[in-house]
Amino acid sequence: MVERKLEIVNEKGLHLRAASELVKLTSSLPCSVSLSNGVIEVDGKSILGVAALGAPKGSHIVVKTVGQDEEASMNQIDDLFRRGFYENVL
Amino acid sequence: MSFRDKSTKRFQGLPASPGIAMARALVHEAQLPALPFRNVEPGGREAELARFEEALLATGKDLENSRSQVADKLGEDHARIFEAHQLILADEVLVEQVRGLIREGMGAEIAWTETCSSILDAFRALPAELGDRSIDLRDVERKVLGKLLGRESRGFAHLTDEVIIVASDLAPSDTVTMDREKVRGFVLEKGGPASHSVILGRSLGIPVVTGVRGLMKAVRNRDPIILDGHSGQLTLHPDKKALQDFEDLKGAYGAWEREMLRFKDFPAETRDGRRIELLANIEIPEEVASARDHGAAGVGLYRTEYLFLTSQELPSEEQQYEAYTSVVKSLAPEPVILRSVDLGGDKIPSYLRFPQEQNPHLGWRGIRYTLSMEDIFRTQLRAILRASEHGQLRLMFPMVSSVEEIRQIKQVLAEVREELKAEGHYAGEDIQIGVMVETPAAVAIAHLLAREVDFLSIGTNDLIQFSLAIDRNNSLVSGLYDPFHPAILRQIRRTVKAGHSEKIWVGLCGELPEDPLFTILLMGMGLDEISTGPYRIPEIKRVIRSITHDGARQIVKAAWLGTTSEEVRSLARAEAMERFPDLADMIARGESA
Repeated sequence: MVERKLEIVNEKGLHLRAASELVKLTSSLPCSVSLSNGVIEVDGKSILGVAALGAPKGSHIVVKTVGQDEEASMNQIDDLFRRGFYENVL
Repeated sequence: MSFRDKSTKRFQGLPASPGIAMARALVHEAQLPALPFRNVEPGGREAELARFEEALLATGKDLENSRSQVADKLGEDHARIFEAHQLILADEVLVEQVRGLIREGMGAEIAWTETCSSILDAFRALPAELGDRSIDLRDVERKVLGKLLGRESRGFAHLTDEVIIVASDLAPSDTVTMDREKVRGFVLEKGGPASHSVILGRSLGIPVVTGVRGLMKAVRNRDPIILDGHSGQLTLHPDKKALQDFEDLKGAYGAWEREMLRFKDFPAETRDGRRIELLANIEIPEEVASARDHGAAGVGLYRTEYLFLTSQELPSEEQQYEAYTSVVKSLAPEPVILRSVDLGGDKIPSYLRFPQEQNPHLGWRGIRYTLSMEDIFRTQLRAILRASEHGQLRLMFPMVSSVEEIRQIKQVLAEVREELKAEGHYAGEDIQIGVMVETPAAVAIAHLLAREVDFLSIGTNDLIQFSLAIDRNNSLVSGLYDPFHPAILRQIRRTVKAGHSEKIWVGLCGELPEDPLFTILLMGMGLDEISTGPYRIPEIKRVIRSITHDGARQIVKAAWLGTTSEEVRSLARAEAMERFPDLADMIARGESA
């Protein structure tokens, strides 16, 4: 298992479009992914779960990856968080 | 077989977009139907599961169709709504929960809606600035349920016959894939004058009637109806006489429109040479074509709310820049007067949370909202200033009621310009800046506001509503809404004089009454610019081209002696009939409207 605390850096937080980008990535990963905001833990491949985290800019999410390619997968997720879910590109 | 009453019935609503149409009803069911609670015996549970999976597949197919259609027609960006919907449909957590309930013996419909409801409850607790996700889930919920029940709303994409859409209200996502060739009108049980379908109807030039009580109960799919967007009347199951009346009216409207269109390519100039700017009000870039077809010399009110109301989140600077640029560019060198976004009141995007207000129209809206939400304001100003490079853009601000507000606006504008210049962008430093005069306070201090800006634009819809303290959507008092009220005429004249004494031009924008006397009075009061719905431009042009400025001034003088609206009208009418007998047909028509 790999666990990392990632920061939401984009202006709009983890809104529906950002959640879509994240779930598009996690769904393509071979390992399982979970996200927690300290109150609830959700399946990282569920868009409704991710959206239900209600994570605004500046908040932190604990991400866990378990299984095949867990390290590489975490790096990809980390990268997407840092890029603000492509908020400024889209 | 149930027997349905097919006798002719008439309903009265509020006319929202002119025109007349006859077609069969296409009833749009936005409400979820009441579901029977059903227990499935163990032997039937596999089949129930299969039914659910089938509904998911079918919905997925529809979504993919809509997505690619919208992507082709409007671009990938618009198609993203459907991408989120597809992800929701593929959400294993959601789907597994439903499967679990079905395996325990719950009917698929109930299992599906129960699961969706529990998630919607969780969403409701989330902070507002992250956007309202419940709408998307509710959309998907409705679609799957429609498949399960076999009574899905067919959508408006592939229509074989001409239809009039009958709905409680319509959301932008309902109409985005609509087959524009086949839809002849909208009739809504709810829906205000600023609602999406009204705007769309006007831009397509089809009739829209809103606020029809009892509509959804009375009308069924494929019922024949006649919709009159001039009078606001809906006729269900028209009899022979109603059909004849329809043919007559349609012929008369058609002939009238053709007659008026003859004037569209001439300038809006009186016989004695006073030329004004006659411009069109628009909401979306697609309306530019209609404005041009009707002979508008530019856009006098570009309402930017539409962009905010139809997207799923705040439109980015680039999205706004693109929209504004496309309008400005396609009309250059003609002017485009763009109004900064007027949110609040009844114009609230789903992703922004507004507090419950007792009087939203007197509340947090217009410039009050944008000045307190500076990020939204600055982003829009950046997009506007950058877009001004591509043509003749002028900028105005809604609901300004004090000098402090306009000074504050100018301060923000100056800061945004510095920012743009520092980044090497065009900063639109010489565009004209104006305020809308739409509160009695703004009229009273019009001369003070005039010293701060390049133009004033009287917004009649709100000014009349606020001056007379009348809510146009309240049927108990809407009859008192009267542009000919002596108070309104005095406010318009006072504003024009204030502007002219400060050497700036004064315009007016809003829905003009169909009575040509009003146009004559406006000309006589010295307005420099008039902006109204594209479809009204040809007839207003005809009025202007039939009169003299001097004669119009004399008519104002005569009307000024009127102590009531009726006296104002009859004095103006008598004077106008004598001076401009050519307009007798229009004046008579105005009276009957």
